[in-house]
Amino acid sequence: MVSRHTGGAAPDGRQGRFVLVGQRLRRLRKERRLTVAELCARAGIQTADQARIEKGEGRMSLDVLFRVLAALQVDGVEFFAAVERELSAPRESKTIREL
Amino acid sequence: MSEMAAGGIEVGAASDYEREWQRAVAANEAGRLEEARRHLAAALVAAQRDGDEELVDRAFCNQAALAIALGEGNDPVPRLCEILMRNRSQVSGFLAANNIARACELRREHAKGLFYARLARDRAAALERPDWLAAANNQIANLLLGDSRFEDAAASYREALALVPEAGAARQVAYLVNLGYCELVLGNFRGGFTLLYRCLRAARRNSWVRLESAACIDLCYGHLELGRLEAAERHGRCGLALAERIGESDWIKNALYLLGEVAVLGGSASRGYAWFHELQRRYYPAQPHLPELLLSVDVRKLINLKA
Repeated sequence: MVSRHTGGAAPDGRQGRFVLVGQRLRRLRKERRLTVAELCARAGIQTADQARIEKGEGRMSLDVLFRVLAALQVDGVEFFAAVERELSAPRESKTIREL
Repeated sequence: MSEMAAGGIEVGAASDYEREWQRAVAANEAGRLEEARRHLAAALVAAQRDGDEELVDRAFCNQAALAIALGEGNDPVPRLCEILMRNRSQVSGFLAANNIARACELRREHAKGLFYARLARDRAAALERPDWLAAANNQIANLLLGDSRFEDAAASYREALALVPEAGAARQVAYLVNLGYCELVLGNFRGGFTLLYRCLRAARRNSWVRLESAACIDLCYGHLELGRLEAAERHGRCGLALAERIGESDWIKNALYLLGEVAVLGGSASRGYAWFHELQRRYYPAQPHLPELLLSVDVRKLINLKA
């Protein structure tokens, strides 16, 4: 059995998911003492993209997601596990699927 | 160039310029881009020779449209801004603003692009040109879609579609594919599937490979969302093969990712890993842990395939 995280994708928590992912990315960027512009230069993405993500304003392309995680040198699995823990604390059964 | 070419330029300058421009349009529509480029360059020379500054501006805008679409040459945006600021005519203003908006879309500068796309829309409205108005609304919709503003994008695509009279035209089908994707993301699966299958039939009937690939990948996404894994895989593989044929790397990435998701959701982690590994190997070689990440985390709800 493989348990798989949903990227913080709680069925009833769409806005919460984006906000939480954005907040965590922002926190990680600040921990690494990077400005938005510096991170974007490192990741090769537009500053508007990163600003939008950090504000939790919706979806992103695969490219942007992978580039930001790489630029922040984040372990993606741990990152999303933490997002999910925070998002799903009151309704854990809804956010982890058993495959 | 397609939007510009579809709009055309008023008859009246039955000159070398007009002749070269018509040849460029024909070559562009047939996909002979190098030939189109030569005719556009000749049109610019003809306009300069005639000493008609308005025509020179239009000729430059037409050249810029092709250069932007192909992502080559010197950045034409500064001169397009000059043309827009000079405001010699609504026609050159529309062409300049629309081209700047397209350049912004490709650079993912969506807010800036929206500003210029709305200027283009205002000029198209002032000119009472429904085809240009449709092009401007489509450009606005594309920028909104890139920003994941799906409801607003869908509304703009509908406005564009209402202005395109010819049913089944490539331009109409292109608008419909993106509207179909918006509907799927917004949870209107019935509407989304209806639009996308309509696009798929039109694309296959007319051998529009790009549009067929786009429709297939969006259908893969839709079926995946509904757990119809066989249909998702069939469309995903078809979309991938077509995207490979035309070298659309962003679409190839999306298809590889979606096929990986189909496999994982179907219970085959090993097949899912193989697709994700292919995605990583080809496009993200510096991120060796990416397949493991995608096996562990379902990021579908975070991803916009058209961003």
